[in-house]
Amino acid sequence: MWKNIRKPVTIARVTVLESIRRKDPYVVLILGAAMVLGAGLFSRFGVEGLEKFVKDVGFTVTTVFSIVICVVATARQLPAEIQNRTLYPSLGKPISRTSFYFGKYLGVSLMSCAVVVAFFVLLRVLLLVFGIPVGGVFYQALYLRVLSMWFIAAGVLCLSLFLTHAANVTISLLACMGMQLFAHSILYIHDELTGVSLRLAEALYWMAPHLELFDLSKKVIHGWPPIPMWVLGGMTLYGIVYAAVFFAVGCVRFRRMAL
Amino acid sequence: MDTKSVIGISDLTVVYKAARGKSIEAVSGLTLEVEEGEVVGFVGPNGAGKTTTIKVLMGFLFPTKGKASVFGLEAGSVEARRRTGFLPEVAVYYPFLTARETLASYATLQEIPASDHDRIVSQLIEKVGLAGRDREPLRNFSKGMLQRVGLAQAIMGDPDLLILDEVTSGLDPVARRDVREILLEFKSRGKTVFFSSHELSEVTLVCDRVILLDEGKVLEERALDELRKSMRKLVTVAKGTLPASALPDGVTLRSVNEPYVTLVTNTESAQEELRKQLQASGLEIVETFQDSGSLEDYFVNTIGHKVT
Repeated sequence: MWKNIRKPVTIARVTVLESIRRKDPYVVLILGAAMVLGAGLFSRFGVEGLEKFVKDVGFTVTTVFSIVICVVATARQLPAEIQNRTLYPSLGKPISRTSFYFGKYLGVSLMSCAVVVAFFVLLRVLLLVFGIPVGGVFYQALYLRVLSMWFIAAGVLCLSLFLTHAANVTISLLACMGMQLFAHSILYIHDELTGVSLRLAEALYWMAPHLELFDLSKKVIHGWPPIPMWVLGGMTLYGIVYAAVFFAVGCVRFRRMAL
Repeated sequence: MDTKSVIGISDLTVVYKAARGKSIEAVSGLTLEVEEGEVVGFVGPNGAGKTTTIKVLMGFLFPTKGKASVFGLEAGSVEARRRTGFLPEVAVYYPFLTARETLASYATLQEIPASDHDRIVSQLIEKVGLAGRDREPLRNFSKGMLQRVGLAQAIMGDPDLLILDEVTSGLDPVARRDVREILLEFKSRGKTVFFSSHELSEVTLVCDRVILLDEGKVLEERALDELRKSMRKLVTVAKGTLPASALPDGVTLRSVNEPYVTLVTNTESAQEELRKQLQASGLEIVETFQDSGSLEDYFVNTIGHKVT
């Protein structure tokens, strides 16, 4: 088992090391920390109701920056390997393209998850310092955000084999942010639609990856109780299925590509 | 196919899709074979199809038509790559990793046990002359140093076959000598080496056989000894004025440096014919000698344009 997984783990390790040494995560972490701490300062002035504001800013920063770092870092991986020809010596070794692709996926997903965890730790420390309580839903939010990183990384890595780097980053960011912000809008307008437009809206709703389902920030902000475990399990399954589909499509494409 | 055949390429055609629906035939019906223990130089001008052929052998490109095999296995298969060391044309590695980290990563991919990594990586670093620089990030390395890292990863695990694309590209004379020594050491142990190069002098120093490629086709394929014979020139230096009459067939004028003329022939009979004609015209034969000839001149003449 370990013998088979050593090669993708090595590719993942190289991917994470390269990203860390390029200082990719630091930029967003420092910027994010500054924004969260800035929001936290308002509480120090004793303004009423800013507990929710701090949580809101913290979660917005975490969501936006973790998606940005995941999309940008993932979109670069394979095109940069091909353009810089760094993949030739690697693929000259006895490693299958599937293992190489999996290693890249593992690397960017782990790096993105580490950024999410760092943001949550920062937010938790800040909330502790200001004496703002969080329930179990905070940790469920962390779990689902981490899960969404695997989901997003699989999609972006797959798209990087079909689109140029710039197009991939633009489309992926629009899709991620769009689903976060506008997915519910389809439900709101559903009753107003008829005929073809209704069918199109339904097809879009059922086929689109619902990233907004991985966002429990509003529940944390408003102090809701934890969501049932079966819902969490369902979300895990949903994320795994989507990530697996994206991974499979990308992998088939990569295996057939002329390099 | 012969059981000793290490590389077998049969009727290989590779077509690239170009812009506006056009296509480019980079390799056209290429057939060649490399036997076990041979050192074969794969030479030709830019765009001849050398790198494309090598990419097919490594499984980076797929044949449009024809077949390629390595050790009798499908070219590019994991099993074939397990026994092959490969150096790509432009050696680029992860810039933020050190040479030691890079080679340790390749050691894992090469299936070398983790307990041996340190020892093997240290040996390779020593062998390619990077001792003392192995803990620096590769972004600080010159092109020649990166090529040394590339060579180290290529020979890692003592592969049975080395496929090297432009192996001496960007190397200074000392590094070239080091590379040559490594290749000759491989050759002495009966390993097979297949390499492309623009450095024709390097080819003559290490190869058993040369395959000349142009426009995706094999133009000439000869053992180096045989090639050297055909490159050999017989030079005659005479004193006096060259007669206005035509020179015998197979004689070319190399230079005129009053009062001396230098003439070149390929065969002894042509040289003898020339000698008689010059003496009959009143010229004095000053000197005759053999010139081993230049591989570059030979290839330029064969291809009909400059080898770059």
